[in-house]
Amino acid sequence: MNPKHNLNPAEPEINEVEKDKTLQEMERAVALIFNKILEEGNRIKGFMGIIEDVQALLESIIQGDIETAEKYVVKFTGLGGKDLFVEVGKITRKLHDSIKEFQDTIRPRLQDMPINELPQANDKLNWVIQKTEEAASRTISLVEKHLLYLDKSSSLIRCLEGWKRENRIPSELDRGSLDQLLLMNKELSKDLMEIMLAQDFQDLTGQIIKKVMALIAEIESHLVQILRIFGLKMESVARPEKGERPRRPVMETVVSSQSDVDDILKQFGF
Amino acid sequence: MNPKMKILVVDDFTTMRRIVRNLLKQLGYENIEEAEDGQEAFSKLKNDKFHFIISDWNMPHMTGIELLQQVRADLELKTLPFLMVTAESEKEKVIEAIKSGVNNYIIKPFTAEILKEKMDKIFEKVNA
Repeated sequence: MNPKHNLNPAEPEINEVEKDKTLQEMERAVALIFNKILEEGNRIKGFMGIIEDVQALLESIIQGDIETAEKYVVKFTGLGGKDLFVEVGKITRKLHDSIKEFQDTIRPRLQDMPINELPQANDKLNWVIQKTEEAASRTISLVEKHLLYLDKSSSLIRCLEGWKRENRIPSELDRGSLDQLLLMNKELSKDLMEIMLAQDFQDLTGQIIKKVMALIAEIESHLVQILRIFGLKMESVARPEKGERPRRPVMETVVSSQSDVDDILKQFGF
Repeated sequence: MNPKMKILVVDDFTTMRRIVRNLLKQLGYENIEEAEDGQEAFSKLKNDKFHFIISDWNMPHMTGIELLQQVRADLELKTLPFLMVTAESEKEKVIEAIKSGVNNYIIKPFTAEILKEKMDKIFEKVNA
């Protein structure tokens, strides 16, 4: 406090007492902090000393100086070594607890995935491939049957045309009717081919499904690995990846159409 | 076009093999054989005389590109016309096929006209 501003003569004494008290408290705090710093410094020094000793031990072993090496081994079994082991023990415990915590978190859901859910997902996708293949096959069989009929009806029409030219058939079957029959046959043939070509959806979707199945199998096997690393018991293991297709690399330029492909072919002289 | 020409259709999907077979029939080809993958195809090629191969890319055991490379590396088969019909439409894949010696490349889905056009183009080049 500045004495120039002191209007009451009794006040300085009280303030001086308070000031001393505050100073004492501050001194105590500074001493406490200083002691802490010293303590930490000693600990670091001690740690540095351990590292230096380890280095010396290794050097003496390399040089074949067994006597010195034995001296350091004896030193390590002393009190300083105990501190180090306690610290290592603490870290080990923390690690163990973290792993256990992780196990408890993933156990209910993750453990079930490679055993039940992923194989089930693959089975379902396989079922989709089977069903679409069956449907496409049935459609193609019917198309093939009618393409055969179409061949027969085409040859019948050709026969009728010949008879017509020779006037061997009734006049009701005129040129117009024959032309109409020919046109219908042609249209039918075109549509049947369209129906058949449309069945290529089975191949295209099937290929994508197979790629997804391969990916699921890969995830499944990685999960099994993770679970094994973390010590969770497994009742089943990842199934072999049969008929697996090669995975698509990440960096690829996708061309959009046949004309894009034709452009590339052209560049290479095709 | 020679209708007696023997063509090998290679695809792991039965549906696609049947589609290509029917398209070829419509184009007038009658002598058509099928194989489920590159491995089966190569063994058929070694045991029988074929004039043309139409192959998918993605197949188990031996892929279409592996079959192509094996065919081009074989003294007896290296000049056999090879048409790749595949859903693989990446630029890198097309270039890889060209570098491996493919005669032409069709991406799925395709039409009968495209198949005819590509086959005609191959024959033109082969006969030139």
